[in-house]
Amino acid sequence: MIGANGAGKTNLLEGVHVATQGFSPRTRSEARLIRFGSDATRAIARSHARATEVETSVTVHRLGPKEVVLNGAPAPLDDLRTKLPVLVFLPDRLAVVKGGPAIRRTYFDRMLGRVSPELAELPGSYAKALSQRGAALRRVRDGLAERASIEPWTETVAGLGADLDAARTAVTDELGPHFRDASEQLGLRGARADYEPSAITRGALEDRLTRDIERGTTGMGPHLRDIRLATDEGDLRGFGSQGQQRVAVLALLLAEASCLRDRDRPAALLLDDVLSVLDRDRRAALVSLLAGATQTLVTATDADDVLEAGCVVEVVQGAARIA
Amino acid sequence: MVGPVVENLVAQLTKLPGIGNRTAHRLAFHVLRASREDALALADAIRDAKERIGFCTVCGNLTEEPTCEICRDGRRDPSVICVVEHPVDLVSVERTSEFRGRYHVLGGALSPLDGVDPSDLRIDGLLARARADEVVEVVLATNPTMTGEATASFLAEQLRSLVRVTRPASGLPVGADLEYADEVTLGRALAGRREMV
Repeated sequence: MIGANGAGKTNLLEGVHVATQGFSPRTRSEARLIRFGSDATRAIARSHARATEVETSVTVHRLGPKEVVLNGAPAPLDDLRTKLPVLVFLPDRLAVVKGGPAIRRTYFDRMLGRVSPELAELPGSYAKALSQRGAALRRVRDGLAERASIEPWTETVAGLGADLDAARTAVTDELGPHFRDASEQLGLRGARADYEPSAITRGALEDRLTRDIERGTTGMGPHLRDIRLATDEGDLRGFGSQGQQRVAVLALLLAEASCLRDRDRPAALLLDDVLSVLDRDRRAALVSLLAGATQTLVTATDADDVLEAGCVVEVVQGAARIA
Repeated sequence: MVGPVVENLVAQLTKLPGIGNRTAHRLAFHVLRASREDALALADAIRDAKERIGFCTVCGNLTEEPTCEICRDGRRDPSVICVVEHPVDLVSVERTSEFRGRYHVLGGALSPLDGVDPSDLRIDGLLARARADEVVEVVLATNPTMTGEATASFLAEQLRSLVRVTRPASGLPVGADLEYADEVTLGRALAGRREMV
């Protein structure tokens, strides 16, 4: 998708995301998707997922809930994501490398749900158990309940916490080689994604029970761990240049795409302004990484000679046409 | 638009589970359209139920007498107690006709976030019953939700030294296709698979 700055390329990409995933990757306030003076906006996509045709329609109203229609019938939002898996790269989204641990935990936990759908609920369940235990700790601290009332929540938190540790370890292990390869081809050597599990157990939680009661919160577990993104030179968060951090974000996405492909659930890729992130050689490397993989939509200001696009869409002043 | 009396009726109906504003309006107007006898019969039924139904002093089930029908029924097996969260869960288990023991209704599940502690549930009564010689097994049939599971594990801990403690299996719904089972249910069903005989 080519066009001058401000022509509406990213908008088109965003529209594809809304139509296939049901929400914008750029903003949480969905009213911003609606044109000034209008009451609603609708994105429709006709896609092929393997041999089946899938038609989706997502309508966002200024007032009232979002309407999701899948092959003519109303459907829950989550159905879109499982029917039409899509991964999106936005160049300004560096927070996963640059930001605090909480952002990386959320990113990897969502990835966990995409790579292993049977574990999609696990991070949420753990968070729920954690808030129950926190409430139990504070009720004991404030003299409203007895110590024994914490026990079932200690057991639940320990069990789900160990599961989440194991799941994060498994997903980073699976991602690791792909992340290293993709990074290397894009010019970042020795990239790693390491998760050090929290070693949460029932016994360990019971040992620190008095401290946890005083603070009214559970002081150990996967909710306090980080996924370290690093190269041989050090932590990408602290030492990486902006360019390296961008490449790392892109490599994470490509690595996840490889994991999904390995599991025979290929995702389409939406890459916004990805070519400006890379020099000419790396662009060629990206093209070979993507070749034959899955459908990939790329935005750029000019048609790029290294990119052998199957179809070029020109975007001029908010209107798109096939060139 | 319809006056405070109707609005109050709608507001009261909205408090019922599964009743939104629109349904509440429909119900309210239905009641107003209905004959005086029908409408007042509903009001009387609610008042009657509320005034005459209490909790069984043994198991916590709903009853008009001090003890419920099941606790009074000599044909029920006194050696097995099935623990449920609410009377409505008891009705579900009864409908299966698979269980011939007695019940214990906790009155909820542990949830510190909602301020429900062990002392808010009928746990002491359960422990006292489990200590009786005739009881050999307690089935923990709390809901397979996080709070239900936590409640079951809390009870199991205290009951284990007294009786055999069991929990109903999680599994596939009968008569439904595998493809409709969610991953967690299917996963648990596979983990708990049984030999074909």
